[in-house]
Amino acid sequence: MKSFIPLSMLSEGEQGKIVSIMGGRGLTRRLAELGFNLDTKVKVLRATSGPIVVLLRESRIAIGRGVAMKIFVEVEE
Amino acid sequence: MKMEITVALEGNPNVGKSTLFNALTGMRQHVGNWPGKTVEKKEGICKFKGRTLKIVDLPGTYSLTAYSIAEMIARDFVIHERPDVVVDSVDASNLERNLYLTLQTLELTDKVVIALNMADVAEARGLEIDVEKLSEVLGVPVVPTVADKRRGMDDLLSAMVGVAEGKIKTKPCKLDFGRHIEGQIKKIEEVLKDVDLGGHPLRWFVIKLLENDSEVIQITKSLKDGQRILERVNAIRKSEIHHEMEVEIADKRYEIIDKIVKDVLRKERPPAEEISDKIDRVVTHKVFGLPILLGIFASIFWVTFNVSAPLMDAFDGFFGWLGELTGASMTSLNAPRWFTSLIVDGVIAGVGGVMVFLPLIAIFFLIFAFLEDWGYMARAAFVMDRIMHAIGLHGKTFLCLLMGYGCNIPGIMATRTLEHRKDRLIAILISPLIPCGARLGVMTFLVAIFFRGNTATLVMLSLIVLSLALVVLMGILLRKFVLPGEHPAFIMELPPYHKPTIRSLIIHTWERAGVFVKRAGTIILLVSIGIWALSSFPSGAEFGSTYAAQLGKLFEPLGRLMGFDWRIMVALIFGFAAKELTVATLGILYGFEEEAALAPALATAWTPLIAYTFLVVQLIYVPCLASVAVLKRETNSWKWTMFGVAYTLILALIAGVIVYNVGLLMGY
Repeated sequence: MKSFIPLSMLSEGEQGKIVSIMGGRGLTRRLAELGFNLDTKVKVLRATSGPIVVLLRESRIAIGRGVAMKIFVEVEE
Repeated sequence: MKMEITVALEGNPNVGKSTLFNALTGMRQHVGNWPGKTVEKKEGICKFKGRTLKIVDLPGTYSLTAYSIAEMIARDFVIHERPDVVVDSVDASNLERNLYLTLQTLELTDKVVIALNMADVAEARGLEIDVEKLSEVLGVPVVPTVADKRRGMDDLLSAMVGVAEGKIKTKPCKLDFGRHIEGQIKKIEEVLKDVDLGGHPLRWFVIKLLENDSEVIQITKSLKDGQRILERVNAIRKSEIHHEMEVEIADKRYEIIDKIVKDVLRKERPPAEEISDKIDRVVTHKVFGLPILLGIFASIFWVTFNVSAPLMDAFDGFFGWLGELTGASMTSLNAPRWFTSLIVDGVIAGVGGVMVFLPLIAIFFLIFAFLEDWGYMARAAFVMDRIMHAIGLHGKTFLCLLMGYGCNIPGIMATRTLEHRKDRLIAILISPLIPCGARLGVMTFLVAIFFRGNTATLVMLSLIVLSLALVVLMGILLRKFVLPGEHPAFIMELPPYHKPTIRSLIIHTWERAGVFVKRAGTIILLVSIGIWALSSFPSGAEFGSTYAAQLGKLFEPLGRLMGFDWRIMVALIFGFAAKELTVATLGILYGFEEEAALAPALATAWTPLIAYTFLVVQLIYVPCLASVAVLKRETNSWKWTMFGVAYTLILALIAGVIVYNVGLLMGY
């Protein structure tokens, strides 16, 4: 059973594959250029009630909560 | 052979690009601004085998779209200035992300050399890169370097010269975007093939049109028949939509990168938990992250003040000695008395009074540079983002504000890293409320005269808290009423921790503390002479009737609201040039009449309440003339500059009146 949830809902250590980004035009493009592409793996390294840190393409990226809510992932078991 | 070779240095932020720049140019650097822009432009000279290379450090970017000013500058430079060679600084330990910019650069020019930097870090992480293969795939020379140890510099320079002079032939790889996108590219290329694109490469121009790049669309509109061309392009774009084209192209580039990386990269061992993750586990901790941050910043201040105190005494002693020596020798040379006074009381006392703060500011920025180069500051922005977000500000704003504690000017300049204009304006406008090193110095000096022991600590603390409260208040008010906008998106790479080099620490410290020295040598020098003149003329007049005193008396009625007499008003007016001058001015004003050391003179002339009110007012109103100049340069608008000056003046007046009158009511 697959489930698509926003990146902001993942706990630390969980990882998933990006399935869609629901941002405005500018944000979506900016994320795509940073490597947040469809089917790319992301792992949550640090989750707080504010921003989170993810591991993406071998680098650590901090993103605000608002941004993390717009990135939908398919959680890997 | 061309006499001077122009080199553009580009790269992602945090990939040791500035280390590479420093390694190539040393201290032969010139810092200015990009014409018409508020982004810093750095240039340096490097000599190699009889050639002179002019190296232009482009702003660090992840991409070459028209998303931010930094990206626009980088790409305009490559397109219009036609550098003889572009050096792309690529972080060997993070090929995937870095190659994105590389691929975009190869679309733009074929004169490219890749500096595969931080090769040692990659090795330590168990990554092995097939350099020859990478060079073959990309079609341009790739040179492994370790900039902070200056390894590989000669090879890099040889490759740069080779490409610039055409001795090394390059053949940049052409990206295949796949049948769908390539088909569209071909169709648009047909439309544009006979059009003069003002030096832009055709294929690049077409790809940017497909990516809906705002700048390229503007250029197209200005072309002959531009509107018609755009319509045709749009018709082609819309013929097949299944995704947003710009996102699809970005995805495609990464797809190509994935393939390249797979071909050239060998991982020797699975990545263990890295040292960076271990440190992050502690410093970005949900609960302990904030206390750790506060602890670190408290130590910054503790170390700064304690280490700089003896140095400041030494500076103070030096300028005192210099003044006496100059005075004595000028008198013995029969120099006119007014001229001796101008040099000794005006120039040396004025500039010296400001330069005394240099050790404090230099040490503060040295520690700041260390934490920044090491990698902690990005984490600090992360930890503070939640709090900053609540005020409607970006996490990075916190770093700019923090820098302001050293000197407001570098703090204001640091707001350049904020992408959105409104965020940046708010950050610039609230920056002056942060008490800079100079104001903190005035505070410690006056507090020590009027308050003792725990009360003194409490008074200092109350002033700091007041300034923070005002920063928060103004941040909220500006966001709500003056510059409303969405909460900014926080996206920030956390670079791996790495040991800073002494060289880069020195260069970074000098960049910021140097601003302060320059200010002492220019504005402060002139103003010191002005102050001296105002307080010495009309010549022979009693001090109470000099121009300075007349000015102070003019503003005295306003001062009365806060319990200030004309002398305090003079100090505040002169403090507009630089806050450090307030103490020096008070020294002159009270010294003239009572001929005693300043501390006891003030202690008898002022009540503690007046001292406290004075501290509050000097904390809030316009930081200094130099910061106003920077305010103008960075906002590029007189309106916002005037706003910044006016609101701090009004705020200072209101705070002063409230503090004084509440204090009176409470019986102080």
